[in-house]
Formats: sequence, structure tokens, C-alpha cells
Amino acid sequence: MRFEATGSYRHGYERFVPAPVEMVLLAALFIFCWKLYGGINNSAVAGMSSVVIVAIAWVLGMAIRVATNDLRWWLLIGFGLAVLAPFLAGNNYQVGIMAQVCVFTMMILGLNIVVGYTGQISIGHGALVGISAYFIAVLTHYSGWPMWPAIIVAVFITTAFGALLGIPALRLAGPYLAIATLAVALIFPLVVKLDQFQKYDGGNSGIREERITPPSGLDSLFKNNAPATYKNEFAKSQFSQQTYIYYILLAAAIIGTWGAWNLTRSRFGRAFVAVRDSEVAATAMGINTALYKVMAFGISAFYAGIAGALFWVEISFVSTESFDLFNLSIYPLAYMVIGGLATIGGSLLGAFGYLWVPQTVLKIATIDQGFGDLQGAITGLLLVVFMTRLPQGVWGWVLGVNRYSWRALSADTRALAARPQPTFWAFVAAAIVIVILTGAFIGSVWSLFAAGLFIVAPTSAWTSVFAPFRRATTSLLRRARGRPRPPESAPADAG
Amino acid sequence: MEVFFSQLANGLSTGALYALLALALVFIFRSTDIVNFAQGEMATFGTYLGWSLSRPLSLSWIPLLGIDRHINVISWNPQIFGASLSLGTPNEGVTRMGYIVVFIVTVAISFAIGAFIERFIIRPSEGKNLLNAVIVTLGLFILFNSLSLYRYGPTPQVYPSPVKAATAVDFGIFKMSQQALFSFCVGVVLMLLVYWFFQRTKLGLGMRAAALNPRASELMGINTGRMLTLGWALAAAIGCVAGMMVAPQVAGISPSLMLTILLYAFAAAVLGGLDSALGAVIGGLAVGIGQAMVVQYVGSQWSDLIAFGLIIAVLMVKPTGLFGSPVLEKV
Repeated sequence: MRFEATGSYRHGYERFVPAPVEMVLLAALFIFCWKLYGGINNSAVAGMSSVVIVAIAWVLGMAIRVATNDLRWWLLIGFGLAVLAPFLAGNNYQVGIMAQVCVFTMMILGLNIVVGYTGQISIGHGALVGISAYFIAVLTHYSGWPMWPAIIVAVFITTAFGALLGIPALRLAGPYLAIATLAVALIFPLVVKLDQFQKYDGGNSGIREERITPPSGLDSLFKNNAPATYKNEFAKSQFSQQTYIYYILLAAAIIGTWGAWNLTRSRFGRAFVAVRDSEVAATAMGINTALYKVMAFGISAFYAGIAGALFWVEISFVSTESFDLFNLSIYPLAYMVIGGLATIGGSLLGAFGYLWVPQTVLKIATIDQGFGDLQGAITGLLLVVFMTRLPQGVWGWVLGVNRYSWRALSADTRALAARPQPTFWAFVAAAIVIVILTGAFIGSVWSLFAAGLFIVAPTSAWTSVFAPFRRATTSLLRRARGRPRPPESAPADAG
Repeated sequence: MEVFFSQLANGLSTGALYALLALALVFIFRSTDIVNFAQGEMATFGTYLGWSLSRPLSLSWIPLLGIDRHINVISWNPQIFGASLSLGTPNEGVTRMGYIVVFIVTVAISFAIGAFIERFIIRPSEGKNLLNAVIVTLGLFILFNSLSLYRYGPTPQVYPSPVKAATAVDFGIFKMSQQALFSFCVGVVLMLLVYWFFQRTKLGLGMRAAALNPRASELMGINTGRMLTLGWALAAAIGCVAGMMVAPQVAGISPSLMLTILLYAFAAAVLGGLDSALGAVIGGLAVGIGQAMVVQYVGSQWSDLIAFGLIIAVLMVKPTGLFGSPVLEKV
């Protein structure tokens, strides 16, 4: 099975979309979210109109684009932000969300190994996370085990289940495997809810335990350094506990990311990709496809098992509602695809999006009511748009933007100057004017929408919308000038 | 014994609905090799459209305008360049369409939606990669589910029925509700229509040819792309009919109306073979009867479990199902 999306997505006409435009819109989005979450407490900044924000975003976008042609900057910035997150966030709720980002980083990494790298679709990973969390819950709650041994046992059991889940993959492909794994995801809550198991797993009411508490040294450290928004002693102890848990999860997520990164570049990772691209060719190269498929499912389940363990550490509560089809099987898969199939960075972005896109939608819903129910629609729309127009996902897009170096930009600008594209520049101007006007007259929420539309626009849909107009205009111009048609040549390549 | 026969009759009736939805799945799978996970949600959405059509004339007829639920959707931004918009309150209209008109219009709209989806959403990922297509239909699944929730809200709405839905008809050895009888009859008529369409019309022949061998049928002058669009459109329309038959039998339409039914339809389609229309019908009836019997004699909590277990068991033992043709992999 091959994925579309190899190489740069900028071909032909799309090469002429200048990166600053994309970066500006990205920065506008970023600043919008920042403002939404009260990240800027300075009232002078918070009171700015959207017009000023877009203007600042323009400058910022240029700066970021020029500064970060090297992706390692992003890595460093991301790492720093992740470590400082509890102290930057205004309240415990947001720290909790960041902790869940770590949980789903593990899950989506595992999912990406099996879906992205090995090409075997699985809609059943929610069941694996659930199995792990439930085993830990039952062992600690009913059998009185300490938590860490329970976690080890549960992760190994989940790995075994995952390898079992890989056995259908030996016989089934594509849609058939999707249906089979979907059935697994659906069966899991039903089994838990069965009357016969009620007394072992709590049935519908679930299992609750006390969350872990930090050792006294760390506790006082976190309490003393708690941000000023935590007023009293109780809030500070809550903060201390949440932060402690967050750092455990963050450490696990970082180790997991490092492991997945190494795995995908190892013999195993190459073999997975070979199995995905052509099973027959992989077999001919001496790869035991059956073994590697089961192994991919096993490794993936190992990650899912750890995700389940982290889930238990973070929430210390399991019920069948937590592991329903949408929340734990379909949405993570969706955001993995939006983030970027078969990339580690894409998995991280996916986990981030999985938690923060719905949060942002809910946050907007506090301004515009009725918006909250649209979060699923937004996810679905993103999924469809990305899969049909930008199958590389956000990560591929970011890479594309970064690959678009300054020299290439100037080369293309020269090419543009040599061959004017009036319709295109009219389009860019219209986009900026529309975003600014929407922000000024209708509201920042809708300017976000407009910006989002134009982010996707230049690279995909609108290109085809505008292409006929462009052809018409250029041919009109050519006729007006009375010059012969210039030979089609590839645009000048970067340095 | 009366209980047994009543359950058998009910099983046949729900089985006919499963068969309809399974048929829709099979159409799409045969023509495009895609399993349409969004089938049930598309049907729910279509049924909701029918529901809003069956209400008095109002702005709620305009699809996607969230008037029904969020009366203030328009007043989200009441002032656009200083002018405030007021589009009136819903349900103050005058007309009310008859059931049959609503039925026909709804099916027509669903047909159009299905065609639109194939042409503009599925077509770009068609024939490239099966995984892409599966993920796109999952996206549509989320999209339609959430749109129904957004526009019509989570509370179930009562769907009209031309018969007295709750009243039972006594056949002597068994009893059956009028709605169940009605939906069984509609299901059978529709299946016969589909059979006639594919076996006796030139267009149906063209569709079969396009599904069997796209390249050759293109050489014979068949517009394959149009046949695929037609296949999706037909599937959407059939799914919508199933939705309109289901809605009066349960508490009403809710965004999750077709979710369970779609899963049973999957069980039916897998049991019969994903590429066999006859298999879908027989599988649907078998699953329907099986479900009724399990609910009666084993316990209702086992019915879902057995259905999903059946999916896995069939796929593990015989992936082609009872009537499906074996998958040949080209190298």
C-alpha cells in the first residue's frame, strides 16, 4: 500500500504561493488562540483589534519564517515550552489537558507505527488503551496491587492482545481489516458491561482510585514556585499534584517519542515501510511479512498499553464511557492523519490537535454559543480536506514551508517578476483584505475562519478554482500584447 | 409459539432494513472498492432532512441553517455593516407536505447528496490508495454525525409515519406492529426494484459492467465515472429510505439513529460477502432474525456482542462471506 504525498507538495503553480502568506496566516491563528486562552495578560495587547493583530502577525510571520529554516529550533522551542507548561498555564485544567496530550502522544505514536508506517489500518486501538487501563484499575482496586507492578503487567498483557489483533491483518487487507478492528473497538465496552463481569470491573459505574501524590521534597518545590494565579494552599497542593503527574507523563512521552524515532529509522522501521509499500517486493527482499505485521501490531499495542497506563496515572478513573468509539478510536486516528501519516512530528502535532482543537472550539463557544456542537464537524472537515488535498498532513505542510528557503523565495520572486501573474496577486491581495475586513466588521471568530480558508486555499482548492480564471487572464493578456505563447518551462529551482 | 413467530416476523422486518443498508454498502464496495463508514450517518442526515420537510414551512427547510436548534444562529453576528438581520422565527409557516411527497423529495435530496459526495470528495482519492479512502469515509462519518447533532440537537424528534406505528396487526399465529409490516413491505419492494434495475435495464447493466471491469466497459462506451457517481447516489438514497423506515420504530430520530443499525448492516454485508448483493439481502435477513432470537431467548445485552463477534469470526474464517467472490491480488 502506498501513500500519496512523497516529495514536496509544491509543484507548478503552487510554487508561486509565497511562504510568508502562509506563515502570516499561521501566526494570526496562533495569536488568536493565544488571546483566546488569555495568554497575553497585558490589557493593551489584549484590547487590540484584529487589524493590528494581522499587521503584527505579518511581521512575526516573516521573522519566524526567516529564523526557522532549521527544524531543530522548533524542537528546542517545543521542548522548552513543554517543560515550562505548568508554570505558563494559568490554571490546573490546562495542565491537565497538557498531561493528556502526553497520553495521546503515546497512543498516536503507536497508531502511526501500525497505520502510517506499516499501512495496516486499525480502528481498534481504543480497545487496547482501554484494556491496559482496565487491567491496572482492576489489579490495584480489587487485587490490592501497588500501581507500578500493575502497570508493567498490564502493558505486557496489552502487547499480547495487540499481537493477537495483528493476526487478522495477516489475512485481511484495507477495508476488511478496518471493519474487523472496528468490531474489536466496539466489543470491548460491551464485554466490560456484561453482567457476568460487573463485580470484577465495576460495570457502568467504573473504578475510581486516589491519584498519586508527589514526594514531599518535590511537593514543596512545586508549591513554592506555583504561579500567582493559585491563591490558597488547597489550590497550590492541587497544582503540585497535577504538575508532578504531568512531569511523569512528559518524561514517558519524550522517551516514547525518542524510541519511536529510533525504531522507524532502524531495520524494523524500514521493514515496516517495505511491507506497506509492496508486500510482494518485501517478501522478495527476504522480509517475513507476517512476522513484521504482527510485530508492528505488538509494538503499537505496547505504546497503546503505556498510553493506557498514563491515562490511569493522570485520571485514576476508568469507565466504559472513557473508551467509546469516537473518543478513543476514531478521533485519534483522525488527528493522526491530520498531523501527518508516517511521521513522528505528525504524531506529536496530532496529539496536540486532538486535545486542543476541541478545547479551542469549546472556548469559542463561550463567545458564540452553538459553536460547541460543531467540533466534530470541524474534525471531520479537516480530515476530509487533508486526506483529499494535503495527504501529508500538517507536518508535511510545515516541512514544505520550511523547505521553502529564502533563496528559493527570491528565485521565485524573480520568476514572478519575469512572468507576471496578475490573477494570483489579486488573489493574495483579496485574501488579506477579506481576512482584515472580516476581523474588523464581523468578528475575530469569523476572521479566524477566513484565515483558515485561505491557509488551505493557496495550496489546494482555490488553486483549481482560480486556475481557469488565470488561464483566461493570461491568454487575454497575451493576446493584448500580441506576443507568441512562451515555451512551458519548469520554474527556476532553488540554488 | 406465538412469541417465536412474532419474533421471527419482527426479525424479518428489521432484517429487511439491515439488508437495505447492507445493499447500499455493497453497491459502493462493488463499484469503488470502498467501505463506506459514513453510510449510516448519511442516512440519518437524510432522514433529518425528511423530518424538517414534514414540518410546517419555515426557514428550517434550508439545509445547514441551524434555525431548528439555535434560533440565534443568524444573530451570531446580528450586525453586518450596521444592518441587523432578522429572518423570523421557525414554525410559523403555512404548508405541510404529505408523507409521500416528503418521502420522494427526501430520497431525491439524498440521491443528490450521494452523487455530490462521490464526485467531489471521493473521486480525488479514488483508485489511489484504499487507506486514504477508508479515512475519508471516516471523516465523512464524523462530519455528518456532528452536523446532525449541530443542526437538530441531541433530543430525539418524532418522525411521522403513514400508518399507526404502534398498533399491532394480528395474523393469528403472530402479531406485528403496523410500522414493522410497512417497513418490511417497503424493504421488499425496494429490493425488487433494485433487482429489476440491475437485471433488466440498460443503465443497470452499465453499472454492473463498470463495477466488474472499468477499463473494458470504458472501451465499450460506458461513462465509468458517471456510473460510480450513480452508484453512490443510489446507495445514499437506499440508506435514506432505511432511515425513514427505522425512525418511527424507535424513540425518534437522533444523531445516533443509524449507528447501531449500520454495525448490524456491516455484520450482514460481511456475512453475505461484501461484494454480493444477494449475500447482503440474505445476510441482512439472517442477522435480523438472529438478533430477534438472541434478544428473546439469550438476553438483550448479548445481541450487539454476538453481532460484532460474528463480524470478526466471519472475517477470520472466510473473509469472502457466504456469497462473495474471492479477492484476487494482482502483482
